[in-house]
Amino acid sequence: MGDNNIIELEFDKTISALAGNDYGYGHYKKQIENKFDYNKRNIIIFPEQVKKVAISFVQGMFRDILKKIGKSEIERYVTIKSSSEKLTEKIISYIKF
Amino acid sequence: MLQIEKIFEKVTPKNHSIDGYTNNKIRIKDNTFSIKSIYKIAEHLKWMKEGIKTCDTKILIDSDYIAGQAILTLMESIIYFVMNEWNFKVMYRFSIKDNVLGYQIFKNSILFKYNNKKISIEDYNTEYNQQITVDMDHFRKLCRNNEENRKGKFISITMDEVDTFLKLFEFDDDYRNELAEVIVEIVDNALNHSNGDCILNLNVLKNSYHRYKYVDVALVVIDDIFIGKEIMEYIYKENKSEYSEKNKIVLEAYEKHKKFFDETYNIHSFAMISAFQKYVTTRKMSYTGGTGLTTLIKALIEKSNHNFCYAISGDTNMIFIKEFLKLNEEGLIGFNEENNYKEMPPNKKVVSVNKYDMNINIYNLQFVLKENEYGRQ
Repeated sequence: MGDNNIIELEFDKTISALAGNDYGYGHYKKQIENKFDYNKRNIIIFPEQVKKVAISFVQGMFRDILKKIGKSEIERYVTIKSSSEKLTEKIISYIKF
Repeated sequence: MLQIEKIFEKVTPKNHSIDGYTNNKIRIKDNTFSIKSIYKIAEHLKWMKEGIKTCDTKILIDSDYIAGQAILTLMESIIYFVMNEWNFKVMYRFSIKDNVLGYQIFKNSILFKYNNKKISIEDYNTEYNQQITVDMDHFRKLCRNNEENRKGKFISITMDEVDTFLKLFEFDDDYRNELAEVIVEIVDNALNHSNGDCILNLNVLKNSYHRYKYVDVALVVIDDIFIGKEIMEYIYKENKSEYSEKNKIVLEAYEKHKKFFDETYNIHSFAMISAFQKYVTTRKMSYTGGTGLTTLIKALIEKSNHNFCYAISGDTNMIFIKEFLKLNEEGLIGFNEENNYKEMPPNKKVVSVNKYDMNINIYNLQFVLKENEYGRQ
C-alpha cells in the first residue's frame, strides 16, 4: 500500500454521538467519496468531540466502500482514528460486523 | 404523521356501554390492562363515532396491572385523537394499585394527571405534542417521521439525549452507551421502515423485590406497515436484482417454513422473525445493513434477564423469551429450541397471532441495569 491519505471528518460540534444508516451514508457522500483513494491507506479521523458511534452509522458510512473492498481487507485500506482507542476498536469491529 | 386514525381502520364498531347507552360508560375488567383492553375501547369509540349522536363517554378501568408503557402510550394516543379529531369528551378512571410495578409507569404517563378528572384539551395536547420530556426517571420523545429526521442528525441527537438521561442513574459507562445505541437503532429502524411517527418512552424503575434497577423501553409506531412487510414483498417480487444477495437466506428458509404455516404461524410472522436475521435488509442495492435488529437481539441476550420483552406488529405477537434468544455463528436466530432459523418454525410461545390487529407496531423491552462503582442499589 502506498502513501497515507488523510480524511478528517467534521460533524456538527454539538453532537457527541453518531447514529443512523442514512446519516452515515450522507457523510460518506459528503466527506469521504471524493477523497477516498483505493491506491493508498486512508486514515479516517473522527473528531475529538465524537464519543459514541452506533453500528447503523458505521454501516451506512462504509456501505459503498465495502462494495469494493471485502471486510477482511478493509484494514489494509482504512485506518480509523478517534477520541479513544476503545472507540476506534468499536468502529473497526462495526465495519467488519 | 402520527396516523392515530389507522388504529380504528381494522376495528369493528361495537357498543360496550354498561347499561345500553344511556350513560355511555364502558368498563374494562381485564386483570391486566393490555392490547385486548385497548381494542375494546377502540371498538366502543368507533361505535360512538358511527352509530350514535353522543360524544361523551367515561371509561372505567378496573384492571389491577398494566401490560406495559406501550399500552399506555396507545391509550394516550387514542384519547388525544378522539378529543381532537372527533370532538369527543372523554373521561377515564384507572384504579391501578400503587404497590404494583405498572403503577410507576402509569404515574409517569400523561394519563395519570387526568385520571378521573375533566381533561383540559389544551394542556393534554401540549403534553402529548411535547417533542421531548424528561422528568426524573422518565424520558419521552416524539420522533417525527420526516425525511430530515430519517436522513439527518436526528438519530444521533436522540442517542446523545438517551445517553445523557441514563447518566442520571450512575450506570456503568459502557453499558449505558450500548443501551443508548440499541434504543436508537430501533428508532432508526422504525422511522426508516414505516411512515408513522415514533413515540419513545423510557422509564428507569426499581424492582424492590429483586433489588435491581431496569430500564423499561417502549416504542410505538402506528402504521399498517408491519415489521417484515417489506421482506414479504421481497419474497413475492419476481425481480430481486436490486436487493442484497444476503437476503437469499430468507427465500431458502421460506421454502421450509411455508410447510409449517397454519392458524398460529403465517407469512407475516415468518417475515417478522426474518427481519431479526443478520444482514437481512430491504434497503435497495446495499452491501451493508440488516444489523440494527441483530444488535437488539445481542442486547436482549446480554442485558435482559427476564421475559417481559415483547413486540407486537400488525397481526403478530412476539415474545423475546430468553431461552430462545441465541445467535448462531452466522448471526441467525431461530427463536426455537434447535436455534434453527433456516429449517424450523419459531417456538409457539415466541410467535402467536395477535387477534387485536390495530395497525400498530410496538416494542416493549426491559434491560436490567448494571450500576457503576458509585451506584447504589
